[in-house]
Amino acid sequence: MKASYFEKVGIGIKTVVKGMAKSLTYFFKKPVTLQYPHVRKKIAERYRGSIRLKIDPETGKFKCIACTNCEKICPAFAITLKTETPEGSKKKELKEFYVDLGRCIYCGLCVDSCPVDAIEHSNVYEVAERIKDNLILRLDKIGEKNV
Amino acid sequence: MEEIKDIRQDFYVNMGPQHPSTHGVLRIVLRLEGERVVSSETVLGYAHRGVEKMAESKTYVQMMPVMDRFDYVSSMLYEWAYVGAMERALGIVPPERAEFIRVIMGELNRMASHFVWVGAFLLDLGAFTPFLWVFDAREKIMDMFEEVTGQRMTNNYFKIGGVHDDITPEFLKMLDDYLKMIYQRMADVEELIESIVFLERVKDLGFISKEEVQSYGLTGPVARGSGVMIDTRKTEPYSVYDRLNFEIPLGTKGDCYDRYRVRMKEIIQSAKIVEQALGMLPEGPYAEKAPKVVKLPEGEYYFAVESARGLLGVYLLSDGSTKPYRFKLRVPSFANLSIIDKLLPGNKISDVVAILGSIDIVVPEIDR
Repeated sequence: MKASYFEKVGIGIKTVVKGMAKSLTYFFKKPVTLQYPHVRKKIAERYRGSIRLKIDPETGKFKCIACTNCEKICPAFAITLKTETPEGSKKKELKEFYVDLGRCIYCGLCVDSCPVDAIEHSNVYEVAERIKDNLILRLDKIGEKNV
Repeated sequence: MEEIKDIRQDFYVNMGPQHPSTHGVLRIVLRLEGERVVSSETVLGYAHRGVEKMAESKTYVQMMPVMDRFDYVSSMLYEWAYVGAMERALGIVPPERAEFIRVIMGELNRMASHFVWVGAFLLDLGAFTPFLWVFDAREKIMDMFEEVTGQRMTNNYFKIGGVHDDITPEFLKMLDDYLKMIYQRMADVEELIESIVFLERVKDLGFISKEEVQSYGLTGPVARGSGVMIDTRKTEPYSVYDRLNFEIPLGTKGDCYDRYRVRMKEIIQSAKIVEQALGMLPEGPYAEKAPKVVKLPEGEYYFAVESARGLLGVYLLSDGSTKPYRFKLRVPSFANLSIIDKLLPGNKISDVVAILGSIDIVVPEIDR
């Protein structure tokens, strides 16, 4: 049976009042939003922020062995490695390590593929830049932003 | 009156590709007569990225993060379909614990996806408060994902033979608190939404019959809203779903309101599945050892899961190398959208948004 016009108006007023009462209970709850630049959320330990190279605490040098696994697996072509082989040695050494944060999709495949655990995700998530070129980071230099 | 009818002309309105209610770059050309839609035409292709072709030039592992980027609101269910197809090819059976973690993560993701739908649907219809309430509930799920997987949305968490990391005690604590809160929150949202203002707009609108469900290949809540029992979790159980006890909510009439009811009930059912899976979670390893270089043996492989929008199938054709020879997705949104040109004619222009919203489409998975 269809309700008449006035019945509908009655039901409408009733439901609106009910909804208002419900929202009023939320009015007195603690706010769930944060005032972002002043208050920061706790970031999870596993959070995948911008990547950085690990330093071996014993030698003080980078752990990277320049195998270029991360460069090969990166689906977004964000990592570029330059290697060199010093005279008299057969082992390749890391010369330059670049990551383009403008390309990086923060998937974590480079971290998984590293055989010596030399690369990791930091918790840095504020990486906005004014100039695009600044997004290309050189990771094998101590004192740069993300090292 | 005759004369007035003669000078009437067809009026065309472009809905989209930049329209807030299409939730992405979808264009619908509406032919109007007065305020009524006479016919409509859906135009796709604005977000086409050629991913199926791209898959042929990427290795199997490199495609993993891309799987998150089709349906960005329920990304882990996509990973599940892709990982499942590869596991079927390699003959790897993930350990029990991994399967239960997958179920927990998958169902949480389904809840998150339905929350986005409820919020966006009501926002389209003009209600703002429920949007904030459900997005608060969703944000708590995102926090849990960040705790376990490392990202909020593009998780890249499922791996061949299991999952990437074990769940943490902190996550279990968050999940416990969440499950205590969620039933009350859902009751609150329902009480707020189901006023006559909402019911008058969605009831008896956009009927889909059982025959149409079959002929258009509809799946997911759209099909279940019409009372058709299609759910891969029940009809073709994968993972450990055959050991879990849950109901599949069904609608009766197949209108917008039934589809809304089905999704609201599914959120509750998903929460119950998560509770059960938590109780049954066994100890043990969370991942089987997977080969370092993934090479699928020659052949065709298919794996289907129930995504938040319906049947999601991943088809892989392998020639034995490290890259797929052909990669094909059967996405639910594409099939579900196909009925929209049938539903719109005869309705008023303000109902277009309600009907389109009730279908629940995600454009990046339609245009792959």
